Amino acid sequence: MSAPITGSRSAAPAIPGAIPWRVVIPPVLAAALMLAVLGPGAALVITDVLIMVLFASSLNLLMIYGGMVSFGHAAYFGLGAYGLALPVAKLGLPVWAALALGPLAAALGALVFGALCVRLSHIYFAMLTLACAEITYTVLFQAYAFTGGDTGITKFMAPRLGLDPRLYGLVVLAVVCVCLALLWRLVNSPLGLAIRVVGEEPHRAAALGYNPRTVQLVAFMFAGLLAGVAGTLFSVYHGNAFPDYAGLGFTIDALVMVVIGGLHSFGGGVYGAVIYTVLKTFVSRYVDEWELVVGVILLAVVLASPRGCAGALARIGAMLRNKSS
Amino acid sequence: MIAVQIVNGLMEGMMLFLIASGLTLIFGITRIVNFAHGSFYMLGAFLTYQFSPYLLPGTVGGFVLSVLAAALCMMLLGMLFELLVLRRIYGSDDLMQLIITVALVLVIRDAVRMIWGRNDVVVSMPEGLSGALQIGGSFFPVFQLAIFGAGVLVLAVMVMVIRFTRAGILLRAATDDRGMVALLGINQSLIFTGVFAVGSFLAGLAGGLAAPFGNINYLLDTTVIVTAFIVVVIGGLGNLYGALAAALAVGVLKGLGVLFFPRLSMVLIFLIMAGVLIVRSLGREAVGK
Amino acid sequence: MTVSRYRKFTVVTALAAFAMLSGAAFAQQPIKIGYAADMSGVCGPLVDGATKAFKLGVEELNKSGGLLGRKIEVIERDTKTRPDEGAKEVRDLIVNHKVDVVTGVCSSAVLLAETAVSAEFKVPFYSAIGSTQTANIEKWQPYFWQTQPNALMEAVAAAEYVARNKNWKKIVPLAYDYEWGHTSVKAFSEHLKKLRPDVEIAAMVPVKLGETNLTSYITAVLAQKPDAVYGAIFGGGLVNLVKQGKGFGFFQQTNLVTLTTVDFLQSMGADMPDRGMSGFSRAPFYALLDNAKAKAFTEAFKARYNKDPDDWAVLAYDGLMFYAEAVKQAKSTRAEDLMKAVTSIRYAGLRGNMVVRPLDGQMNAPSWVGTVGKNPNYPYMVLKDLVRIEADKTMPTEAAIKAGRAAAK
Repeated sequence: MSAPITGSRSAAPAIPGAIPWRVVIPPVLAAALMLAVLGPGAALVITDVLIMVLFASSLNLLMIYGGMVSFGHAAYFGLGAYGLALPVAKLGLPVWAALALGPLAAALGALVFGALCVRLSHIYFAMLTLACAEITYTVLFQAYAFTGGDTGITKFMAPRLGLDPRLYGLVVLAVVCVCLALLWRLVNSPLGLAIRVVGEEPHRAAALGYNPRTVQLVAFMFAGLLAGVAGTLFSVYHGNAFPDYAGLGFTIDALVMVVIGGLHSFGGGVYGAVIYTVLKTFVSRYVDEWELVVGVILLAVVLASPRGCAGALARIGAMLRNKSS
Repeated sequence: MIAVQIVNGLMEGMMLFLIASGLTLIFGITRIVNFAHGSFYMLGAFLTYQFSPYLLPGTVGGFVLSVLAAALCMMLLGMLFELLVLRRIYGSDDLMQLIITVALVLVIRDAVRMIWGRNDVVVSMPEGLSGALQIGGSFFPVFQLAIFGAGVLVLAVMVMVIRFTRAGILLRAATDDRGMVALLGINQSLIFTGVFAVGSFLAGLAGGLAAPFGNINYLLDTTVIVTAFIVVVIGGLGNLYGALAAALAVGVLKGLGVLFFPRLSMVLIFLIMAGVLIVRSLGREAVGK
Repeated sequence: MTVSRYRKFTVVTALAAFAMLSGAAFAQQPIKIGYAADMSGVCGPLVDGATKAFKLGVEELNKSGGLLGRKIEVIERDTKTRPDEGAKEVRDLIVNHKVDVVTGVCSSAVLLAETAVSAEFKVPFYSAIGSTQTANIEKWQPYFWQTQPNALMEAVAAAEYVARNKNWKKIVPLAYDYEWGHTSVKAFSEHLKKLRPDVEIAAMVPVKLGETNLTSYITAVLAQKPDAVYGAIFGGGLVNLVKQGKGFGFFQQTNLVTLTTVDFLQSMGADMPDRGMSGFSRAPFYALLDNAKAKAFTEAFKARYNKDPDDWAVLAYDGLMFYAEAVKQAKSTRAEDLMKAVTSIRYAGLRGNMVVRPLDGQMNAPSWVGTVGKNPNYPYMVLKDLVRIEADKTMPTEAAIKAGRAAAK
């Protein structure tokens, strides 16, 4: 990996930092409408998608803006789930109180692991994040007296806090929107700029007076925190926590989502999560070899348009605009 | 008891080296992290299973032929993949190359499942290699010793090629300075295709050789690629001797780990890698890089 | 970012279309079985035979007029051996497809995730393959039952077998390093100590799940010079253990007592060592052939799929037929009526007469133990000198169950 991925190739909004309401409001309204109208079954699927949107967007921050490819992002997702489940199941904490502990645990994990990982770069960074995630997974898996082991923690709370799936879906929608808004503000703030500069040219950043390690660590923690929020939401959604949530399966899911969504835009996590989750949920019901379908789609997306889905549509959009002019 | 674990660990380590050699070779020259390496290994095992009933079944010679045939198939597949797919994205960023190889993993895994099904397949141990050799008070599988020998042979061939042939000189030059090699008029694409072919051959060879020793199913790729990566990273990407040292060390440490830290066996290999990486990063800090 | 607007609209519309499709109403008439099984992932090979047998059973039932005059419809889902996927699929099957019963699971973790969903929506759920005792004890819920020996029962049966070999004085347990492995070894050791206080049981040697090269474990075990090794290992790991063990003279030096289901016997074929192997089994068809139903099933399976049914196939079929019998006796598929029938009927099945204990949803499933050896009727080795160990010897006592539940609170 000789050159990191940068976010600076994405189109900059007209007013830096302002949320592009015209782009954001229609899909959010559509999602809220679907949640309210389509019934509990559909609401369950949509909620799943929304949680994955947050999870993928957190990795998107790390990879696209920070230039750091992580092979262990699910560790923070899992910590978010267990940060909620363990205090409730083992210490008897009420669920409301423990909701904040999930993201906190994830952020702490990101601090500890991040401090070790940011000392490295490229494939070595990626492999160390993998090691950290695998160690997390193993601790959750093996210490069954403390963490419930591989059989996980179930029945420690009513799934979705007892809420109707539609209502919980709306709650998740609100939380995800707030988190994405925060992410947007971060990316367009001076700190966000620092993250991008360090991601693109760390030596230049150092010359400019930034400490690359610190900046990367902050990005890593923010990404871990958001992944933790997603993990907590997921744990509440299912009413359980399993070591799998910190495992390779979810890590690879996140990576694939970020890639499908295009590797150069803020919304990459959103598109990728929607497409991948919908594919995985519905394709696997009709096609045994759904992974093959995903692989073929990945290949097609990457070959036809090296900038992923966002890039492909950018080109189509440009062509459309040219035609009309 | 410790001696037995160490000897066994060395043998296991040589198998790990066989797996890792192709991966580190490909990265060293082309800078491509080939995630499909585990899948090639798996295909090598499945193809060996497919060929062995037809090529002097049950004999050692037949086994060797099946393995070589499988490895050759993998070489061709690797070359095809490189020519048709990888070539088109050499220009774009490294992440793209990574994703392409991951997509290949998904495709191969499901293709394998479609062709050979979900259940384990078993390659019979060839008659001549199924015995046990007694060293001191303990027994060692003849098969494992044979694989050790094969690993040494592969290493020797690679070392000889790298040191004494023109191709080897080109490889070393390409590792050091790709641009210069291109300037000298050497066809870089030929080198890349060649290296990818050899790396794929090695992956298929490793898979085929290990086939009689364990179960083979469509999940093999994940276990293998993670192990291969760890060995390669510990040894330093692109460093063949490093990969050898790392593979042997990992094998021995695993054997000792079973005796002294049995519950760590799940994470041992990750702890070793993490330790090596962290220590290396400290070293870099000290040097002031 | 202007282009992303088109993208978001397209995707959002597509999503809406999918969501609406999935919520489409199904006819109420047929009996719907939600089959949420671990088809990909580590459990895949086990589920393969089970699914084939299950479908065969459904066909048979439908051919003879269905259940209560209603056709049986099976909706299959793949849990990918991931607990969150299992929970998600079961939730979808219940909420969107209104299934009458859920089954199919193999992995313990997925089982626990699914049983929680079954409890949440009060929809009956049974397991014919996955066998964690946690589902009977700590996480038991009244809409659950399982039709094969749970992990504790199997370990006790193994201990019974080992205890009968009077010249085995030193045992080394070798087990997968996860809950099932540890529970199995603990239950085995405790029961063996009760039967044979003179036996020395060494500390368990834990094997990493999914490990392919078991040579270091083999040498570590052999160095302790055991008379027998209790192997709480299955599937690919067991195949590796045997293949690699042969090279170390394992079966000349000691005996391996392990899970010897038919799929394992089939996949080893002639490579199976002809001595030093013994084990326990859950539903070996070759031991059931004097039961008319089992014989009929075995022949039908062989005719259709051209291979003998493995334990998982027998269990899946037997589990389905038990459900059918319960429905017939309850004269309804309503959860409350069904569970009453499940916990009270006597079912004459492939393994003999079976009942389900209301306290924990556990069927009195027997285990078979024996030594592995050649049998001229089959191209692979099978268990010989078979002893059928009945559930009354192996099922956890009421007191133990209540104690376990109290401890979990």
